[in-house]
Amino acid sequence: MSMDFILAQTVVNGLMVGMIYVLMAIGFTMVFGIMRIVNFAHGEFYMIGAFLFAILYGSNGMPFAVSVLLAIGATALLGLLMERVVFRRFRGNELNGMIASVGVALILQNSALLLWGSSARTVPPVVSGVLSVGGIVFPWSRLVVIIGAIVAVVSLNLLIGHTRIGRAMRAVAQDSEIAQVQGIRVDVIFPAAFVLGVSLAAFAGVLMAPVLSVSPFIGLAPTLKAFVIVVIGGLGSVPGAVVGGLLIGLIESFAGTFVSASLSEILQFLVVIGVVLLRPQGLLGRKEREA
Amino acid sequence: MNPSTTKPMSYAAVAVAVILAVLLPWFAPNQFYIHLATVGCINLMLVLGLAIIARAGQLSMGHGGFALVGGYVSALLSMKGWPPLLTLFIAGLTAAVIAAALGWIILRLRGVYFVLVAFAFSQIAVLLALDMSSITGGANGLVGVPPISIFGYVLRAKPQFYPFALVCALATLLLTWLLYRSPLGTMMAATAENQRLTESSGIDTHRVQVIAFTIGSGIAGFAGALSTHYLRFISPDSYTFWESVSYLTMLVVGGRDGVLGPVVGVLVLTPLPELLRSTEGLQHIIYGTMLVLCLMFVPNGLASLVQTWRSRQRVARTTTAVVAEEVT
Amino acid sequence: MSMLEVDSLKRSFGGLVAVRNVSFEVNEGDFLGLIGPNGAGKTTLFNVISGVLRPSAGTIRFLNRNISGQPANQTVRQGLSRTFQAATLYPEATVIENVARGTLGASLTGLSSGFLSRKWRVNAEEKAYHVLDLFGLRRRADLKARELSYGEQRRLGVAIALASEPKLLMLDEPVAGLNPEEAAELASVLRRVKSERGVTMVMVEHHMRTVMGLCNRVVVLDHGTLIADGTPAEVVSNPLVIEAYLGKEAVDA
Ligand SMILES: Nc1ncnc2c1ncn2[C@@H]1O[C@H](COP(=O)(O)OP(=O)(O)OP(=O)(O)O)[C@@H](O)[C@H]1O
Ligand SMILES: [Mg+2]
Repeated sequence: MSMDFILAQTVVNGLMVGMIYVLMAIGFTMVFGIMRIVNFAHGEFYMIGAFLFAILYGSNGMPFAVSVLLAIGATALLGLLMERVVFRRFRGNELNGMIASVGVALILQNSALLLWGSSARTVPPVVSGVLSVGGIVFPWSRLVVIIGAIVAVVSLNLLIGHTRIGRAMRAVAQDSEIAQVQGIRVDVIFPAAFVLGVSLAAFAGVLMAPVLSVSPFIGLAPTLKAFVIVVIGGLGSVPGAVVGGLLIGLIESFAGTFVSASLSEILQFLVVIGVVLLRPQGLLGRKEREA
Repeated sequence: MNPSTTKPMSYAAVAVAVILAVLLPWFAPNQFYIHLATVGCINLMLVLGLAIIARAGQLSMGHGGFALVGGYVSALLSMKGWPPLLTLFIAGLTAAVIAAALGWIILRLRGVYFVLVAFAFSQIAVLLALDMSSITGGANGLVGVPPISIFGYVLRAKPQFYPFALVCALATLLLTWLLYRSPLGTMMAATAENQRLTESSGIDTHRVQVIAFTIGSGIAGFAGALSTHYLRFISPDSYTFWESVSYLTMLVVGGRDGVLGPVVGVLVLTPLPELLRSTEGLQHIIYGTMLVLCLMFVPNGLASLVQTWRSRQRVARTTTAVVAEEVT
Repeated sequence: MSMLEVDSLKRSFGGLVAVRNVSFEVNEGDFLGLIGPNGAGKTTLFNVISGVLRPSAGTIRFLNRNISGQPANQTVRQGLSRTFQAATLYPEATVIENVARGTLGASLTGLSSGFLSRKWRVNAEEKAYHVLDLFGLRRRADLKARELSYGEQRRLGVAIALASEPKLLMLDEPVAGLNPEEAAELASVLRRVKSERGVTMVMVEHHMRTVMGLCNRVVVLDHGTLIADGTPAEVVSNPLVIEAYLGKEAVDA
């Protein structure tokens, strides 16, 4: 195998994993920015999205598009339920909200374990073949993940930047009391943001299901990654999440290919400590008001 | 009821509880109950460690990581021939030193960052244990960790180990109680309740939080080591994120305010995993549900039900006194 | 003797300069009023002096020691305490516990003390009861702080600050939101604190009657700049001050 080939694969893998992390981190930071809750259950929605897709598309042979929509829709509904029953009571209460999300994570992960068992499932590839550019080949299965994630991030950006609900969300993230005074229906924005975040996680799960194997335990790692990325990029910043996600994805891919997986984790940990010490508002975050 | 009768009554309750715990091996129907009680003692130490950190207003999602470090340190040193009784303390000290360094760097920032760093630290501890397999045995862990021996008396079987675990747990409980009553403990509570005001009363709240994190994590390291010498085994799976979560559950369900909360939380939740060993998923669902329900309906924990009842009496007393004064 | 010297102090937030090149002194025994329209930078000035915020430029000297940018807790232990504009207390703790916590920073010998003996608590509560007596809060001692009326909470806030035994006490709008009787009561408490304990004071206050009644000197801040420094009578007749408060037309008219 040539060095070029390995390099190209490493970059593609890094971008793929990075874009998945970007999707996870955006949902995570939206929920934090708007509801002030660090959601430790975020990755469980990723896991459930992946599982539903694996069952619908992989085991039951449903059409691809139907499987995607059903998997995301069902996960979003579950997210809505969790928001209504649990999270809404804790918005603004950072400490208890975070602890409650840990409880939700326990419940979701282990319900999946009881329902679907602990053995890992594989999903047949959605696309096959390779794209070859200048003698270097890129597997389509991975390129599809990258493209799908880019489409999601771009549409989300349009949604946040150019629609009424998007503007309302930004206003609530900045100051929910002022937003309320301005006539924004905060009680609609909270669940909307939560469901949107959960749907992004579910979509990430759907995208990754054919590439990874699916089990009830796959949710924690992306939660940690989302958290790390959001701190690196800046709490509440979407561009920060994109930069942070790609950075972490590439570190992981390069360190994983050329050195070792645990070195990459340690490297990421050091990056976090460095950012937190030198630029606590994150690479692209705005400074919070002091005092 | 007035304070002068409350005090002796609670001392009596404590004495009865301690006597019951000491006598357990004589009336336990079988060894399983002794095992359960030993696990309870170890859990109590871990939850008390977490409670001390929470007392100063922080939440550690990496508590298990410190127990893991403690377990490996003590296992490796004792397998080299060091006396386990000594390595237990070295384990606690190692965890404390790591916590002090991490805490000093991280604790001056917002709580969210602290949570992340402690969480990430525990994940890295697990990864390192997996990765450095020439030292740690990788995923298989370390088997055949030497038992603790006290002046030649080897704590090999459950009935022998239990008294030692009980002594350790009671000592930790006593230390925590003394800490809470001390100026440092008072500062910790003040910091948690209003950090800005505490700082403005001349207290270095950053230092107070670092000390709380150091003590709490040190206790976790010691307890992790204790458990390792009890089970004679440690592996990267011994203390994952979900173990940290179960200590947190015990703390929240029992109550975060005093030393009674951790005791209640451990008593209520320790038997569960042991009884539901065959269906681990169900046990975690129960933990998760209890955690969420407690936060919703008794956010100060089950122990607070007792305290609420007591303070109602106190308020009733003072308001009558005030009214009486105002009338005259 | 001058106790606090503020020299060319500046603090900005991004592009906004909240305190601009401010210099003034507080002498021992002063009761200095700090007045100025809303948003003039009074609270920011307090925050920078007390160490809650770092200065962007300039120096602060307290008792001939440079305390610029020093952490708040250290400044308090050197004898400079402040209160906050909003009622700031420990809502779930009892009133006596609130004040006892206030005594800890000043009286502490080390963090490891007081594990076995309860003497520290007896001492702290004894001190705290004295302070409560001064503020007329003793009979509320066993209530939780959040159960107090708003006026009592404001008084408790000052009591906590006084518990750290400051030589200089800085009060941020202590009577704001109080009714006239409560305001008068707090004013008389402050007068008593000053005479009995010899505490030098700086007070931010909008309520001119209170300022005139208590302060021997007044400095005026407007848009971050110090525009006047003198006796209360001098300051209220200063055209610059009238302009700052009432707008330009009032002066021309
Ligand atoms: N932490 C901060 N970040 C950004 N801007 C701030 C901050 N604190 C104060 N400001 C700004 O600095 C200016 C001065 O505010 P400050 O609170 O010091 O005024 P003040 O004189 O105390 O007003 P008031 O009488 O209303 O209490 C205001 O424009 C305010 O918006
Ligand atoms: Mg102000």
